[in-house]
Amino acid sequence: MLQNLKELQKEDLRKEVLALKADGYRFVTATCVDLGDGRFDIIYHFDKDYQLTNIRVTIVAEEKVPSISDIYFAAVFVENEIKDLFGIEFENLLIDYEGKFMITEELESPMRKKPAVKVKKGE
Amino acid sequence: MGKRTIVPFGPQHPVLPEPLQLRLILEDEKVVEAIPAIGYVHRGLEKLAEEKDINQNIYVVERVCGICSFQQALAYCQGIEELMGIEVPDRARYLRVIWAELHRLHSHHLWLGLLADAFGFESLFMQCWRNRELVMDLMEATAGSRVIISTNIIGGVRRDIDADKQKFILDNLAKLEEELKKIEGSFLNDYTVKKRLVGVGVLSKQDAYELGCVGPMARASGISMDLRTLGYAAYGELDFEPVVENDGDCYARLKVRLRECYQAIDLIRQAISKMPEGEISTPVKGFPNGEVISRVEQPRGEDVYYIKANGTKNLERLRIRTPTFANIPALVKMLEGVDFADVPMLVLTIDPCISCTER
Repeated sequence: MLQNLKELQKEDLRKEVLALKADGYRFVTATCVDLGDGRFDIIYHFDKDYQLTNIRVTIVAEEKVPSISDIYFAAVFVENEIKDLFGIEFENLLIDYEGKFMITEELESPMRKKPAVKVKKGE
Repeated sequence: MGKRTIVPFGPQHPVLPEPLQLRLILEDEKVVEAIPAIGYVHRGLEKLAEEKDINQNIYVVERVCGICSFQQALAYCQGIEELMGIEVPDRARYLRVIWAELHRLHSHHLWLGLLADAFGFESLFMQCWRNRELVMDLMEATAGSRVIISTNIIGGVRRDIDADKQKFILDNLAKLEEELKKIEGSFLNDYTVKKRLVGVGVLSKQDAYELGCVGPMARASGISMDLRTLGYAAYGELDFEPVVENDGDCYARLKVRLRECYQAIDLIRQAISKMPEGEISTPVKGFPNGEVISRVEQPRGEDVYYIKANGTKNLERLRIRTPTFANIPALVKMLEGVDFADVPMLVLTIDPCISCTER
């Protein structure tokens, strides 16, 4: 139900983002969604004249995502936040806080869905 | 090349009500680079929203920020309503505008006071916060509490504003407008105030757009962008134009917020005069399914909610992009090349809300 949604392979992401920038789009933000089966959606949101365009890239946990921070500087903090909270790595991040932008060392990818642990009665 | 020094600005600093750190790399008295470090008060509210049900989440999102709690709840409720195909009664849409603009008024007055305090004008600071009390009284009278008013529900609002309270609002707004005119002169014409703000931290229109600026910060750089013009709640039926200034400096950002105070007063008056009689909420059955993006114009700018639901009482994902987060890249760029003494002014004129940023 997201408006103007494009589903892309991660290899095509940068090309599409460059085209959007050339077309005058503003970078709004990016959202990471843990799909619960080891895959993650990263949805990039862009705006032009109040019209949103969304790009969805689906990756598996170990995959690296090409950073778009050299195209849109504003993406640098969002990508660092996703790296902190979900443990997703970005390639060629303009400023890499190495997982310490928002959280401390004690926490490891706190927004990832953890498998439920069942505890039997009496244990 | 002068001697390079690294100065940590914050996390505790007199100009910052909340903890944010900027590592400033200085060459003599000039800032060469600024590296933000956030995370001192991260609260994990997005994770909490996955645990709570869709109605409890209203209280969670209201606590993203006290200053704009109503707009946070509004963005969330509008997103869920869109997912469930709920039509909100007309009266509720107007009531939402009234409370949203009251929030804008108290947020802008709070900021005006903090700005006055930052450039050392203590009595002006007191005056701004005293005027803000008039707005707080209105919130208490109409909702029962002063900051987090919890009047939004999925499908409408939970309280009505009757004729007596409408009169009380109009009376207080008349007083506030009068007081605002008095302080406006000090902000706009005082020599010392101008000296601190005019030409400081200039952000060009192109930079503001490319760096993703939102709210008064973008509008002060000549970008006519205000999500209220999309017409959500009852804004589509009210007459207003985005407040735009073109200089892009600290003074322009002050002027935008001052003019927006008058605009908010006008919008509340219009909403009261046009508000129809009728129901204030519609019954809601079932749970949402699908994904949606809901956006509102908060006092600081565009607030973006991404909501993913799966047909149960819990959400799959709630992502909140608050305006301060969007304005940080521009702050970092603006700080490059400014005098060290101007850093507090610059940081303050983006109206940083760390509570929002570290939801």
